[in-house]
Amino acid sequence: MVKHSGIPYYTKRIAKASLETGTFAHLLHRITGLLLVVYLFLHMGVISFTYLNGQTFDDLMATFSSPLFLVLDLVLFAGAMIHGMNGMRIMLFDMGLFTRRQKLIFWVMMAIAAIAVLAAAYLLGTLEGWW
Amino acid sequence: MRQNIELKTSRRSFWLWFLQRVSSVGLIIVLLVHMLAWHYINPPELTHVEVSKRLGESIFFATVEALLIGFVMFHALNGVRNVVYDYFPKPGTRKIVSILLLVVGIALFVWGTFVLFRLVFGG
Ligand code: HEM
Ligand code: HEM
Repeated sequence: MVKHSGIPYYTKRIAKASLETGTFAHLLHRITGLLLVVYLFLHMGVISFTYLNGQTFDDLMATFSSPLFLVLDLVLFAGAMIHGMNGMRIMLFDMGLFTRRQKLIFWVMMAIAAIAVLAAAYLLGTLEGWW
Repeated sequence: MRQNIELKTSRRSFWLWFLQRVSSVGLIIVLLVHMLAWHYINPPELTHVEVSKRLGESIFFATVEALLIGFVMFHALNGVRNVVYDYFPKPGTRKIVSILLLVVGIALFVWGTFVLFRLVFGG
Protein backbone atom coordinates (compact mmCIF):
# COMPACT_ATOMS: atom_id res chain seq x y z
CA MET A 1 0.00 0.00 0.00
CA VAL A 2 2.80 2.35 0.97
CA LYS A 3 4.57 1.90 -2.36
CA HIS A 4 1.62 3.11 -4.36
CA SER A 5 1.22 6.51 -2.79
CA GLY A 6 3.17 9.60 -1.88
CA ILE A 7 3.70 12.79 -3.84
CA PRO A 8 6.45 11.42 -6.17
CA TYR A 9 4.35 8.40 -7.05
CA TYR A 10 1.24 10.49 -7.54
CA THR A 11 2.85 13.18 -9.74
CA LYS A 12 4.55 10.52 -11.83
CA ARG A 13 1.26 8.74 -12.33
CA ILE A 14 -0.50 11.97 -13.31
CA ALA A 15 2.32 13.05 -15.63
CA LYS A 16 2.36 9.67 -17.33
CA ALA A 17 -1.37 9.74 -17.83
CA SER A 18 -0.99 13.21 -19.43
CA LEU A 19 -4.31 14.92 -19.83
CA GLU A 20 -6.56 12.12 -20.92
CA THR A 21 -10.24 12.43 -20.11
CA GLY A 22 -9.93 10.14 -17.08
CA THR A 23 -7.05 12.12 -15.55
CA PHE A 24 -8.85 15.34 -16.23
CA ALA A 25 -12.00 14.00 -14.56
CA HIS A 26 -9.98 12.85 -11.55
CA LEU A 27 -8.29 16.23 -11.07
CA LEU A 28 -11.54 18.08 -11.67
CA HIS A 29 -13.28 15.95 -9.04
CA ARG A 30 -10.49 16.55 -6.54
CA ILE A 31 -10.27 20.32 -7.09
CA THR A 32 -14.04 20.88 -6.95
CA GLY A 33 -14.26 18.68 -3.84
CA LEU A 34 -11.56 20.66 -2.01
CA LEU A 35 -13.08 24.01 -3.06
CA LEU A 36 -16.43 22.84 -1.69
CA VAL A 37 -14.75 21.99 1.62
CA VAL A 38 -13.31 25.54 1.82
CA TYR A 39 -16.73 26.98 1.07
CA LEU A 40 -18.35 24.70 3.65
CA PHE A 41 -16.10 26.02 6.44
CA LEU A 42 -16.68 29.68 5.49
CA HIS A 43 -20.41 29.02 5.10
CA MET A 44 -20.75 27.41 8.52
CA GLY A 45 -18.88 30.39 9.98
CA VAL A 46 -21.40 32.78 8.47
CA ILE A 47 -24.40 30.67 9.51
CA SER A 48 -23.05 30.63 13.08
CA PHE A 49 -23.93 34.33 13.30
CA THR A 50 -27.63 33.43 13.28
CA TYR A 51 -26.92 32.22 16.80
CA LEU A 52 -24.01 34.48 17.84
CA ASN A 53 -25.29 37.81 16.52
CA GLY A 54 -28.38 37.99 14.31
CA GLN A 55 -27.71 41.55 13.16
CA THR A 56 -24.27 40.59 11.83
CA PHE A 57 -25.85 37.70 9.93
CA ASP A 58 -28.39 40.03 8.30
CA ASP A 59 -25.65 42.52 7.35
CA LEU A 60 -23.49 39.77 5.85
CA MET A 61 -26.43 38.39 3.86
CA ALA A 62 -27.19 41.89 2.53
CA THR A 63 -23.59 42.09 1.28
CA PHE A 64 -23.89 38.66 -0.33
CA SER A 65 -26.91 39.71 -2.38
CA SER A 66 -24.84 42.05 -4.59
CA PRO A 67 -24.55 40.98 -8.27
CA LEU A 68 -20.91 39.98 -7.79
CA PHE A 69 -21.81 37.49 -5.06
CA LEU A 70 -24.81 36.21 -7.00
CA VAL A 71 -22.50 35.32 -9.88
CA LEU A 72 -20.11 33.65 -7.41
CA ASP A 73 -23.09 31.69 -6.09
CA LEU A 74 -23.62 30.37 -9.62
CA VAL A 75 -19.95 29.37 -9.76
CA LEU A 76 -20.50 27.52 -6.47
CA PHE A 77 -23.58 25.82 -7.89
CA ALA A 78 -21.56 24.84 -10.98
CA GLY A 79 -18.79 23.43 -8.77
CA ALA A 80 -21.27 21.37 -6.77
CA MET A 81 -22.99 20.07 -9.93
CA ILE A 82 -19.68 19.18 -11.64
CA HIS A 83 -18.46 17.39 -8.50
CA GLY A 84 -21.82 15.72 -7.91
CA MET A 85 -22.28 14.48 -11.49
CA ASN A 86 -18.68 13.31 -11.64
CA GLY A 87 -19.31 11.47 -8.37
CA MET A 88 -22.33 9.73 -9.92
CA ARG A 89 -20.08 8.69 -12.82
CA ILE A 90 -17.54 7.18 -10.43
CA MET A 91 -20.29 5.27 -8.61
CA LEU A 92 -21.71 3.92 -11.87
CA PHE A 93 -18.31 2.41 -12.64
CA ASP A 94 -18.06 1.04 -9.08
CA MET A 95 -21.26 -0.85 -9.81
CA GLY A 96 -19.80 -2.13 -13.06
CA LEU A 97 -22.11 -0.05 -15.25
CA PHE A 98 -20.93 1.60 -18.49
CA THR A 99 -17.28 0.76 -17.76
CA ARG A 100 -16.64 0.47 -21.51
CA ARG A 101 -18.07 3.95 -22.13
CA GLN A 102 -16.17 5.97 -19.53
CA LYS A 103 -15.31 8.96 -21.71
CA LEU A 104 -18.77 9.24 -23.16
CA ILE A 105 -20.33 9.07 -19.69
CA PHE A 106 -18.01 11.85 -18.50
CA TRP A 107 -19.28 14.21 -21.17
CA VAL A 108 -22.89 13.14 -20.65
CA MET A 109 -22.55 13.98 -16.94
CA MET A 110 -20.89 17.32 -17.72
CA ALA A 111 -23.75 18.10 -20.13
CA ILE A 112 -26.28 17.39 -17.37
CA ALA A 113 -24.32 19.67 -15.03
CA ALA A 114 -24.24 22.42 -17.68
CA ILE A 115 -28.00 22.21 -18.20
CA ALA A 116 -28.57 22.39 -14.42
CA VAL A 117 -26.36 25.49 -14.17
CA LEU A 118 -28.21 27.17 -17.03
CA ALA A 119 -31.51 26.38 -15.32
CA ALA A 120 -30.21 27.85 -12.05
CA ALA A 121 -29.01 30.99 -13.87
CA TYR A 122 -32.43 31.31 -15.45
CA LEU A 123 -34.19 30.95 -12.07
CA LEU A 124 -31.86 33.48 -10.46
CA GLY A 125 -32.31 35.97 -13.29
CA THR A 126 -36.07 35.64 -13.00
CA LEU A 127 -35.98 36.29 -9.24
CA GLU A 128 -33.65 39.27 -9.71
CA GLY A 129 -35.61 40.66 -12.65
CA TRP A 130 -32.66 40.48 -15.03
CA TRP A 131 -34.94 39.67 -17.96
CA MET B 1 -0.75 -10.25 14.61
CA ARG B 2 0.35 -8.44 11.47
CA GLN B 3 -2.41 -10.18 9.55
CA ASN B 4 -4.92 -9.01 12.14
CA ILE B 5 -3.91 -5.39 11.71
CA GLU B 6 -4.18 -5.67 7.94
CA LEU B 7 -7.61 -7.25 8.20
CA LYS B 8 -8.77 -4.47 10.50
CA THR B 9 -7.38 -1.80 8.20
CA SER B 10 -8.99 -3.24 5.10
CA ARG B 11 -12.31 -3.60 6.87
CA ARG B 12 -12.15 0.02 7.95
CA SER B 13 -11.21 1.07 4.42
CA PHE B 14 -14.20 -0.77 3.08
CA TRP B 15 -16.64 0.92 5.46
CA LEU B 16 -15.21 4.38 4.82
CA TRP B 17 -15.42 3.74 1.08
CA PHE B 18 -18.99 2.50 1.45
CA LEU B 19 -20.10 5.41 3.64
CA GLN B 20 -18.54 7.81 1.12
CA ARG B 21 -20.96 6.33 -1.48
CA VAL B 22 -23.94 6.47 0.90
CA SER B 23 -23.24 10.12 1.76
CA SER B 24 -22.76 10.90 -1.95
CA VAL B 25 -26.19 9.62 -2.87
CA GLY B 26 -27.68 11.45 0.13
CA LEU B 27 -25.87 14.67 -0.70
CA ILE B 28 -26.91 14.92 -4.32
CA ILE B 29 -30.55 15.04 -3.17
CA VAL B 30 -30.21 16.97 0.06
CA LEU B 31 -27.72 19.56 -1.24
CA LEU B 32 -29.85 20.25 -4.32
CA VAL B 33 -32.91 20.85 -2.15
CA HIS B 34 -30.78 23.05 0.14
CA MET B 35 -29.40 25.31 -2.59
CA LEU B 36 -32.59 25.50 -4.62
CA ALA B 37 -34.77 26.24 -1.59
CA TRP B 38 -32.58 28.98 -0.06
CA HIS B 39 -31.49 30.60 -3.26
CA TYR B 40 -33.26 29.71 -6.48
CA ILE B 41 -36.86 28.64 -5.97
CA ASN B 42 -39.14 30.78 -3.83
CA PRO B 43 -36.44 31.73 -1.29
CA PRO B 44 -37.33 33.62 1.88
CA GLU B 45 -35.56 36.86 2.71
CA LEU B 46 -32.22 35.74 4.12
CA THR B 47 -32.36 37.32 7.58
CA HIS B 48 -31.95 35.33 10.78
CA VAL B 49 -35.62 35.89 11.62
CA GLU B 50 -36.97 34.68 8.27
CA VAL B 51 -34.57 31.72 8.04
CA SER B 52 -35.52 30.67 11.57
CA LYS B 53 -39.22 31.05 10.75
CA ARG B 54 -39.08 28.81 7.70
CA LEU B 55 -37.12 26.11 9.52
CA GLY B 56 -39.48 26.25 12.49
CA GLU B 57 -42.56 25.94 10.31
CA SER B 58 -41.35 23.13 8.09
CA ILE B 59 -40.43 19.73 9.47
CA PHE B 60 -39.38 18.84 5.92
CA PHE B 61 -36.75 21.58 5.68
CA ALA B 62 -35.54 21.04 9.22
CA THR B 63 -35.01 17.34 8.46
CA VAL B 64 -33.25 18.07 5.17
CA GLU B 65 -30.84 20.45 6.92
CA ALA B 66 -30.11 17.97 9.71
CA LEU B 67 -29.33 15.28 7.11
CA LEU B 68 -27.18 17.77 5.20
CA ILE B 69 -24.95 18.49 8.18
CA GLY B 70 -24.46 14.78 8.87
CA PHE B 71 -23.77 13.73 5.26
CA VAL B 72 -21.59 16.68 4.33
CA MET B 73 -19.44 16.58 7.45
CA PHE B 74 -18.57 12.91 6.96
CA HIS B 75 -18.21 13.20 3.18
CA ALA B 76 -16.03 16.32 3.19
CA LEU B 77 -13.60 15.25 5.92
CA ASN B 78 -13.32 11.65 4.70
CA GLY B 79 -12.73 13.14 1.25
CA VAL B 80 -9.88 15.26 2.59
CA ARG B 81 -8.51 12.13 4.28
CA ASN B 82 -8.52 10.30 0.95
CA VAL B 83 -6.59 13.14 -0.68
CA VAL B 84 -4.06 13.23 2.16
CA TYR B 85 -3.58 9.44 1.92
CA ASP B 86 -2.73 9.86 -1.76
CA TYR B 87 0.10 12.28 -1.01
CA PHE B 88 1.44 11.14 2.39
CA PRO B 89 2.46 7.48 2.68
CA LYS B 90 3.98 7.59 6.19
CA PRO B 91 1.73 5.73 8.69
CA GLY B 92 2.58 8.28 11.41
CA THR B 93 1.51 11.26 9.31
CA ARG B 94 -1.62 9.44 8.27
CA LYS B 95 -2.57 8.63 11.83
CA ILE B 96 -2.14 12.21 13.03
CA VAL B 97 -4.14 13.58 10.09
CA SER B 98 -6.90 10.99 10.60
CA ILE B 99 -7.27 11.83 14.27
CA LEU B 100 -7.19 15.57 13.55
CA LEU B 101 -9.90 15.25 10.88
CA LEU B 102 -12.02 13.09 13.17
CA VAL B 103 -11.83 15.63 16.00
CA VAL B 104 -12.53 18.60 13.71
CA GLY B 105 -15.38 16.71 12.07
CA ILE B 106 -17.09 15.81 15.34
CA ALA B 107 -16.64 19.36 16.71
CA LEU B 108 -18.10 20.99 13.58
CA PHE B 109 -20.94 18.44 13.47
CA VAL B 110 -21.91 19.16 17.08
CA TRP B 111 -21.63 22.94 16.59
CA GLY B 112 -23.59 22.92 13.30
CA THR B 113 -26.32 20.77 14.80
CA PHE B 114 -26.55 23.10 17.78
CA VAL B 115 -26.85 26.17 15.51
CA LEU B 116 -29.53 24.43 13.44
CA PHE B 117 -31.37 23.42 16.62
CA ARG B 118 -31.46 27.04 17.76
CA LEU B 119 -32.75 28.14 14.35
CA VAL B 120 -35.50 25.51 14.27
CA PHE B 121 -36.65 26.14 17.84
CA GLY B 122 -36.27 29.92 17.68
CA GLY B 123 -32.97 30.89 19.30
C1 HEM C 1 -23.44 16.85 -4.67
C2 HEM C 1 -23.31 15.65 -4.19
C3 HEM C 1 -21.99 14.93 -4.12
C4 HEM C 1 -21.68 13.75 -4.71
C5 HEM C 1 -22.62 12.88 -5.57
C6 HEM C 1 -20.31 13.44 -4.38
C7 HEM C 1 -19.66 12.28 -4.75
C8 HEM C 1 -18.38 11.96 -4.40
C9 HEM C 1 -17.76 10.67 -4.61
C10 HEM C 1 -18.42 9.45 -5.23
C11 HEM C 1 -16.49 10.73 -4.12
C12 HEM C 1 -15.46 9.61 -4.09
C13 HEM C 1 -14.58 9.64 -5.29
C14 HEM C 1 -13.63 8.46 -5.32
O1 HEM C 1 -13.72 7.56 -4.47
O2 HEM C 1 -12.78 8.46 -6.22
C15 HEM C 1 -16.28 12.08 -3.62
C16 HEM C 1 -15.10 12.57 -3.11
C17 HEM C 1 -14.98 13.79 -2.49
N1 HEM C 1 -15.98 14.70 -2.22
FE1 HEM C 1 -17.85 14.58 -2.92
N2 HEM C 1 -19.80 14.45 -3.59
C18 HEM C 1 -20.79 15.39 -3.41
C19 HEM C 1 -20.68 16.55 -2.67
C20 HEM C 1 -19.55 16.98 -2.00
C21 HEM C 1 -19.47 18.16 -1.15
C22 HEM C 1 -20.63 19.10 -0.84
C23 HEM C 1 -18.16 18.24 -0.71
C24 HEM C 1 -17.49 19.25 0.19
C25 HEM C 1 -18.06 19.94 1.12
C26 HEM C 1 -17.43 17.13 -1.27
C27 HEM C 1 -16.08 16.86 -1.08
C28 HEM C 1 -15.42 15.77 -1.55
C29 HEM C 1 -14.00 15.55 -1.40
C30 HEM C 1 -13.00 16.50 -0.73
C31 HEM C 1 -13.72 14.32 -2.01
C32 HEM C 1 -12.35 13.63 -2.15
C33 HEM C 1 -11.82 13.91 -3.51
C34 HEM C 1 -10.74 12.98 -3.98
O3 HEM C 1 -10.54 11.89 -3.41
O4 HEM C 1 -10.09 13.35 -4.96
N3 HEM C 1 -18.31 16.37 -2.04
N4 HEM C 1 -17.47 12.80 -3.80
C1 HEM D 1 -26.65 28.34 -3.06
C2 HEM D 1 -25.94 28.67 -2.04
C3 HEM D 1 -26.38 28.41 -0.62
C4 HEM D 1 -27.25 29.14 0.13
C5 HEM D 1 -28.05 30.38 -0.28
C6 HEM D 1 -27.27 28.53 1.45
C7 HEM D 1 -28.01 29.01 2.52
C8 HEM D 1 -27.99 28.49 3.79
C9 HEM D 1 -28.77 28.98 4.90
C10 HEM D 1 -29.76 30.14 4.83
C11 HEM D 1 -28.47 28.20 5.97
C12 HEM D 1 -29.01 28.34 7.43
C13 HEM D 1 -30.23 27.55 7.63
C14 HEM D 1 -29.99 26.08 7.73
O1 HEM D 1 -29.28 25.62 8.65
O2 HEM D 1 -30.51 25.41 6.86
C15 HEM D 1 -27.51 27.20 5.55
C16 HEM D 1 -26.97 26.22 6.34
C17 HEM D 1 -26.08 25.25 5.93
N1 HEM D 1 -25.57 25.09 4.65
FE1 HEM D 1 -25.98 26.26 3.06
N2 HEM D 1 -26.43 27.43 1.45
C18 HEM D 1 -25.87 27.32 0.19
C19 HEM D 1 -24.98 26.36 -0.23
C20 HEM D 1 -24.46 25.35 0.56
C21 HEM D 1 -23.47 24.36 0.13
C22 HEM D 1 -22.88 24.27 -1.28
C23 HEM D 1 -23.22 23.56 1.20
C24 HEM D 1 -22.29 22.35 1.28
C25 HEM D 1 -21.03 22.43 0.98
C26 HEM D 1 -24.02 24.04 2.32
C27 HEM D 1 -24.02 23.51 3.58
C28 HEM D 1 -24.73 23.99 4.66
C29 HEM D 1 -24.69 23.43 6.00
C30 HEM D 1 -23.87 22.20 6.45
C31 HEM D 1 -25.54 24.22 6.79
C32 HEM D 1 -25.85 24.04 8.30
C33 HEM D 1 -24.93 24.97 9.06
C34 HEM D 1 -25.22 25.03 10.54
O3 HEM D 1 -26.33 24.68 10.98
O4 HEM D 1 -24.29 25.44 11.27
N3 HEM D 1 -24.76 25.12 1.88
N4 HEM D 1 -27.22 27.42 4.22
